[in-house]
Amino acid sequence: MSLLQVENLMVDYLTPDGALRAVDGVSFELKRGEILGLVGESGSGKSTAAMAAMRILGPPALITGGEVLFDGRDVLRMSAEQLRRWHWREISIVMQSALNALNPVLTMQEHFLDTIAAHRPELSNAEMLTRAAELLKMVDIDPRHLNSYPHELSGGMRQRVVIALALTLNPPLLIMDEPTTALDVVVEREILKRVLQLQKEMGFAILFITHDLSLLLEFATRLGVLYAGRLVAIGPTEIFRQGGIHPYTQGLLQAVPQLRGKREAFKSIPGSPPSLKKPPNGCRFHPRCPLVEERCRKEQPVLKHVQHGHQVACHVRT
Amino acid sequence: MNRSIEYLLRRLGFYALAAWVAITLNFLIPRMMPGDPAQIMFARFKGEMSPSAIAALRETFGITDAPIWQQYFTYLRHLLSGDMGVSVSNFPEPVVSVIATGLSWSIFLAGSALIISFILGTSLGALAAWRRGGLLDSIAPPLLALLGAFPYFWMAMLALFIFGFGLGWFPLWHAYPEGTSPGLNLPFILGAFYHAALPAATMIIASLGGWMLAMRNTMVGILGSDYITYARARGLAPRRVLIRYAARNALLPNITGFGMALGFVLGGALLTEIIFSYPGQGYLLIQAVRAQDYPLMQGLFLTITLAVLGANWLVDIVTLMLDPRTRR
Repeated sequence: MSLLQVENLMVDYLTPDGALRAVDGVSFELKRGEILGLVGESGSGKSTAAMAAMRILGPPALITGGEVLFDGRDVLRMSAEQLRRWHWREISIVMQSALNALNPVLTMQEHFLDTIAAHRPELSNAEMLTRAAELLKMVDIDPRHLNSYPHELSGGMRQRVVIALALTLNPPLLIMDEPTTALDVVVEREILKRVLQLQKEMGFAILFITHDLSLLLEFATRLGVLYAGRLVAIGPTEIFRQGGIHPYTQGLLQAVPQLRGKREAFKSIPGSPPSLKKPPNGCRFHPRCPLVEERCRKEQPVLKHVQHGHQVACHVRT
Repeated sequence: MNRSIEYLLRRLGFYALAAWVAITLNFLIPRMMPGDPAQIMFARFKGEMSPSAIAALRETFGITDAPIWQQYFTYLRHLLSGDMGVSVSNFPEPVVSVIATGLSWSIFLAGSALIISFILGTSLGALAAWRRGGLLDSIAPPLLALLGAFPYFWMAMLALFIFGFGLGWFPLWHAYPEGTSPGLNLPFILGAFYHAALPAATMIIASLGGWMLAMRNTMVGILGSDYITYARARGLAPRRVLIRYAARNALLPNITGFGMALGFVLGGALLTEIIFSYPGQGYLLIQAVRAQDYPLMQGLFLTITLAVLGANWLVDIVTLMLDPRTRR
């Protein structure tokens, strides 16, 4: 049984001009211990899909359809208290901006104690403090920073603290929503390396969300590509390393500069992502697609199996 | 921590400078006006006063023929020893003791009204934002805004007319029942609360909406921030998120408003005290103006200025304690 199974998930944002579908029928699953990457441009619905699956989206976002199963349990039918207990013990998240994820008036220690006390109230204060210090050491931060306030730490340190917080209760699934976007490349590398080490030691699964496809190619077990709220390709990372099958994936991969090998001018995908208020008919990528056919303008393609567990939603490629 | 103390001392230095400017202006302004208190006293007694008595009076009020800088130093020396002269309208009671009485009534009435209104208003605002669009959020803000929009004197007079005069539930004037003597005795204390109830209620009703809306609006902003989403995602109990994460942060900007209001408490609630004939600072001020009681006016202005400065310093301290970002 898979750890997380998302079936045909639909998420709408209620705007004054009517509902806007940000996630439109997305399905994926995640096995224990694996790393699934979700890539897409801004507004493709990748963060919304992950946060909806965890049920931490508030208004104006609304889950309007689909099913989310965690370890066989129906997440969309959980009560508030069930959700509260499920969160962090079994699923945790590292959010985009660690700068804003921490309460500015509380010390690191208070963040850890609040989190542990919410789930393990039977622990003594001393035990909680020991655990907090241990967690900080895990992400290479001196435990003396337990008494620091968020504004006293650098961006990279804050991001490490947020990662340590996410691992507080040893959850089997960690969602990382663009965890390093706000950091410079060197710090980004260091932090990712540490997370992957911890993942090997502790064995949690990761749902990694980013717009940086080249990053995911390095360590994801499997990859999903989102375009305008729909999943257009999903499968083992290997196929993506070889260039991908869906024309959008191929376009994305060609936009990644190569350090080694032949010197090639990298191409960009012409045009820009469609407005979700008025998405194009048929395949949403067709206005920008180099392989567009008549059928693409009318019929919406569905995900079809092509090879080795690789699925794409494309009329031309399937 | 040491740097925080250094910061507070620096602020204190600034306030001391401001206080000195206020004290000096307080000395200069009446001396630049025509006439002096002794002449007013003289006019009151319709000329039945000997010149030597006038001279003695002038001496009492600190107005002498000495050069102005000497007068200034005498004034400063008197001020430091707590001597603000003699009240004309309450002759021969010293200004300091007149103000002490007014001040204690003002602190009692306006202070308790402010504290109740602030606590109640911010709690209601926090709850309204927490259940945004709920019953409380839909009813309370427009209702309180409506009540707050009535001219205060009109509302207070109406309350006095209905509950005091018409129904006879509350006393019509003064701060404690006749026949009781101020001090630590039960009839006086109960009577003081009874007398303060109606004026305090009108002040609370008039100001509650402001506190509630201010808190509600900052709280709505805070609730949309990442650390609230993140606190909820961590499975923290809703109460904890509400109090420790949302309200705690939303309170910070409102503390400044509270501090300012606290400063004005010591100046008395002018309209309230006039309408309810309550013997606080505001009532004294009106009396002082009517009687051209310059020493009392001067003393009141000085008290108000020092109170506002003191309240500001208090806000500095509280902000420093509540918001670690202001510490360095």
